[in-house]
Amino acid sequence: MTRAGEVAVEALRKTFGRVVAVDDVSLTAEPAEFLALLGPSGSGKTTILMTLAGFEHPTSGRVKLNGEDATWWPAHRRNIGMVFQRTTLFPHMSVRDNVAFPLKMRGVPARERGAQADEALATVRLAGYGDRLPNQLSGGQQQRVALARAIVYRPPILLMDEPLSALDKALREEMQLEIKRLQRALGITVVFVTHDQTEALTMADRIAVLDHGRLMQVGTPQALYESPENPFVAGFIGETAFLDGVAERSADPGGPATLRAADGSKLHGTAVAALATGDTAQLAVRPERIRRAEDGLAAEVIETFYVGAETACLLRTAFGAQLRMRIAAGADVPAPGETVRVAWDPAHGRIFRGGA
Amino acid sequence: MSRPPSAFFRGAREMSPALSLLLLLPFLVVLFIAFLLPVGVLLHESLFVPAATLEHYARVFDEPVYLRVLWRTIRIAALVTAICLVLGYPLAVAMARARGVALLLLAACVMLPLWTSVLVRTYAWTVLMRRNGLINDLLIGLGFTDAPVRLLYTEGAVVVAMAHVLLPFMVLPLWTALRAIPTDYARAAAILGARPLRSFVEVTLPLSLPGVASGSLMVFLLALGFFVTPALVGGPQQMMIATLISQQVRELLNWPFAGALVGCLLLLTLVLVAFFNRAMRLDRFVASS
Ligand SMILES: Nc1ncnc2c1ncn2[C@@H]1O[C@H](COP(=O)(O)OP(=O)(O)O)[C@@H](O)[C@H]1O
Ligand SMILES: [Mg+2]
Repeated sequence: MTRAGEVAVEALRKTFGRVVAVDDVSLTAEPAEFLALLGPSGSGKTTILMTLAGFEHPTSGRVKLNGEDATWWPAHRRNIGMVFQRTTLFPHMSVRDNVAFPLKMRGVPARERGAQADEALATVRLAGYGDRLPNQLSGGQQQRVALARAIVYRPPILLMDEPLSALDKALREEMQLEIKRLQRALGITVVFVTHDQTEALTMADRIAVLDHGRLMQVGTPQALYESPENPFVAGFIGETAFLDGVAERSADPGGPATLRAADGSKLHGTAVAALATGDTAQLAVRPERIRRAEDGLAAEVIETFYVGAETACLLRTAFGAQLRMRIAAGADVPAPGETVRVAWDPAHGRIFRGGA
Repeated sequence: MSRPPSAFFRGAREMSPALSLLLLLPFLVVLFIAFLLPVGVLLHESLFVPAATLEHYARVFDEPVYLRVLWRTIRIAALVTAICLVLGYPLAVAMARARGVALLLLAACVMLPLWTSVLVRTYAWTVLMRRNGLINDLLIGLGFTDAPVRLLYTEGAVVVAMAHVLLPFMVLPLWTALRAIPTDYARAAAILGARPLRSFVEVTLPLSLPGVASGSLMVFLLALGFFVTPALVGGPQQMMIATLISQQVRELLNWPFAGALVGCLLLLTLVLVAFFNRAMRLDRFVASS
């Protein structure tokens, strides 16, 4: 059955010699979905994208495009758009000829090509730039032309490999919104590679987090942030403090659990996976969930940082763990050296088995 | 630590004109003594001996013999350039794509001829092409012909041997140009729908044109003034301008006329370089890479 715009890899594995670049990844992007591949450098994001594009072929596993098995199709048959990390505009062609190139390859007559290219340039707000050469444009403009070239033939699928990483912050944020707007307007499926979690969180409908070639978790930005399924995701997305301890009692997945820290303090949270009494485990909690409470965990204030809207406090517990707490502007800020008592809603303390 | 600006060093990157001149001096001295001076003397003789005159130049264009040699020289040089381009381009493409040992082997094959003398390589061709040489043995053995074919002392022999000698000068600039084209361009062309051949024609080929231009120019200019090979594998019927000049100097001691021939060759070279520079904007390519 074909489903236009669906992108899937099934049990994808890719090795380069001894390096396992992608390790048994199964992943589907639904039609018109914006899926981000997020992970540190070397986690296999580019390799997955190259396999989708047809520049690499899997060691094992399958690639499906629009519901069809495309594992061994050559790149030129896949009819997908792609924007690369570095500019790949052909330097000897005008901007218009660059954008018209995929139409030319599809046999569109010259006059129509020019008109469609100009139209695509207008959608990326570069109307009137058609006669220039690529090197007469700024970096941001070049990537916008690359985007126009990738969508001018209305492919159902668009791949992007860190297309904004060479741009400065302000331009990057502007382009993020523009790409998102365009994706919604065209109803195109986007697979977007990035190592920047903020970028992934702002742009994606769902994020696939990768580490060492493995898929760690897939979910909406909210799901990843609020309910990470493993310490890697908890630590990679947003700020997190990890507190080590052993399970006081057995606990069911999703059920309440309590850890005892090295100094005997009790840490309350929610078990992500089943816990048995005495299992070593770690509790992850985000700074904005930590509040002051009379009956809470004792911690010494090491330092405070005033950042305008709030003050960040760096704390150290009696058993040596460090955590951050945020204090809203106007509230009482403790001084370094003072001991404060802190707590969090057990629903926001996620307990993972294992750890240090 | 800051020091007062000296006459020589102004900064890490910036050199004073005096220092630049000092560094260039040895080269300029050699250039002057070994090239500008003798050529200048020759050109001077061609114009002012016995008195201020254009008669030597007129002679080059009046006597059909000399015009024929000039024309043959240009024709052979063009043919050699074309053959080098046809043979060298695929080789350069292969080299630009090869990695590791394969690249090393290919590069060695291209460079090896440069490490042996032109004389040796040319004699190798005479051994191959003489009456009872390897090629004739092969032709007779395979039944293409009954009697040995005349191969040596033909224009074909000159062209083939010169193309062999000059091939590296085509391959190296081509390889440099092709290697500088990012592989992402070919990938972009492919994902945009271009089959491999189309991607080559639309993207790789145009971007390699500066390499084609500099390689062709290099081979053509070297071929124009080539001496050893045409003298050894060619006969009097295949005489090229360098041989003619040498004959004028060594046998006829006609320095002014030799000077006029050198002047014609030099003018042709300069015109060609200027033309290629404009057409291909070699200077821009050099500046950007
Ligand atoms: N062509 C290749 N040859 C050898 N190793 C490669 C190649 N491409 C990627 N790798 C390796 O595979 C791993 C994943 O790389 P990559 O997919 O580029 O990661 P990312 O894009 O997440 O930074 C890395 O260890 C990298 O060194
Ligand atoms: Mg990458």
